[in-house]
Amino acid sequence: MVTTTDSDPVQYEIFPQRMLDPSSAQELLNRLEQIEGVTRVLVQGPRLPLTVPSGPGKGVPVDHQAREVIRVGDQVMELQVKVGRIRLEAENDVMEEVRALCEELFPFPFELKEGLFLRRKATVTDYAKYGPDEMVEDKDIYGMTDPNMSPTAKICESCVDTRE
Amino acid sequence: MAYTPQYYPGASHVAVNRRKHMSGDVEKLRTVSDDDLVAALGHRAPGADYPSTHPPLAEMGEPDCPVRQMVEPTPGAAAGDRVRYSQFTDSMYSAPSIPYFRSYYAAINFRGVDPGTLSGRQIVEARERDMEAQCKAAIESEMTCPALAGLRGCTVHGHSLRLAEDGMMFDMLERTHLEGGNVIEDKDQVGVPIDRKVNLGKPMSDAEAKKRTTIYRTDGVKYRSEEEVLDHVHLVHHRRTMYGYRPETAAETAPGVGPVTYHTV
Repeated sequence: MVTTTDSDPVQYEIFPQRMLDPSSAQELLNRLEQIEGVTRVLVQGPRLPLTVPSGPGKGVPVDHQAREVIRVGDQVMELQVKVGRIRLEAENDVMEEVRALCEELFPFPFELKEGLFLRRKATVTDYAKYGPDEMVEDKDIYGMTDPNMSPTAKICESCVDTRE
Repeated sequence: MAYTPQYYPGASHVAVNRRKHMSGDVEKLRTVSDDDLVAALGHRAPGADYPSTHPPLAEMGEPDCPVRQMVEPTPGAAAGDRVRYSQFTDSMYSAPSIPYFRSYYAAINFRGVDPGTLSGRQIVEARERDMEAQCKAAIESEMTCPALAGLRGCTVHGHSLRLAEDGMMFDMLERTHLEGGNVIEDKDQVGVPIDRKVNLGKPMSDAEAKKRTTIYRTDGVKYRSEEEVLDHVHLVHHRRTMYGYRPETAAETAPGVGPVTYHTV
């Protein structure tokens, strides 16, 4: 069971009524990054595959317009999801700043919740991906990746040895 | 006086729309050419002949059967067409139609069709030219908003997701997109690109979609506010539960007993 204390960072979830275009997502993420105290931001939404995953058209390129390269801060990344909700963690209470930002950027309603959205403890899946907890240098990675990610994408060396 | 079936109870505009879809009395809003429709369906090349699975019935020499003599074959069956499908997805955000009413529409108004109703999609299987006739009627009518509904042979999960900022239903395969205010389809049902841009016309505004919808929603017409529908559903439920396959034996709901009112819990 995960318990929270006053010293734990606070987490928020932004749930807009419409799913965001890449340009809106880029704007929002850049503005969130500028809020002091925000340490982690995660975007979640339905996947945008590179090729048709099943059916008679399997393997045909999709070329989705929403799968765009965006720039957040000094990092460039390709969006692999249609941005549906944004979860963030901050060292201090930034609820009102985030609310003001969303009211400024979204022409549609949105929900803003405070809660526990990004896990703080390693799960068995995390163990398989990153190895024993004491070996993981950057524990902020927990809860930031797709749980359905293929095990071969990144797996701890001891697990590979076990399999062999 | 000729009998006019009522099809569906209720007084709200949602109930009226449901009656329209069932009766086939739907307004035509757009025109999609035959070749565009064939390309969007993706079963054969536009302009190509219909492939067949058997010779035309007239050439086959059918057995002497009273049922075959009574029932006139559909054009597709008479020509020996293959059985092919069309599948629609309708957004839960006030799309004009829903799978059940697409199936009612197909089954009541068209012959030789086999509608399949699922939670998020509705499929119609029929002989190829019969299916195309039914699909064309549905896609051209008020039953379809190009932004809130779509021809999707697979990956239909956008029906239950929030809309995009431009009001389009999410589609993982992006079969349709908005271009100059019109919805353009440039892939077939299963996501394979086609060599043309099928113009499906302008999407409905929010107000128009809510006016033409057959969906009861808390932000529109609430199901609980539709007394006649609730009463009818309770009646059917009561008879089916208490009297199984003999609902006519239900004494308390027999003709002449008077109205039976059921109260929503």
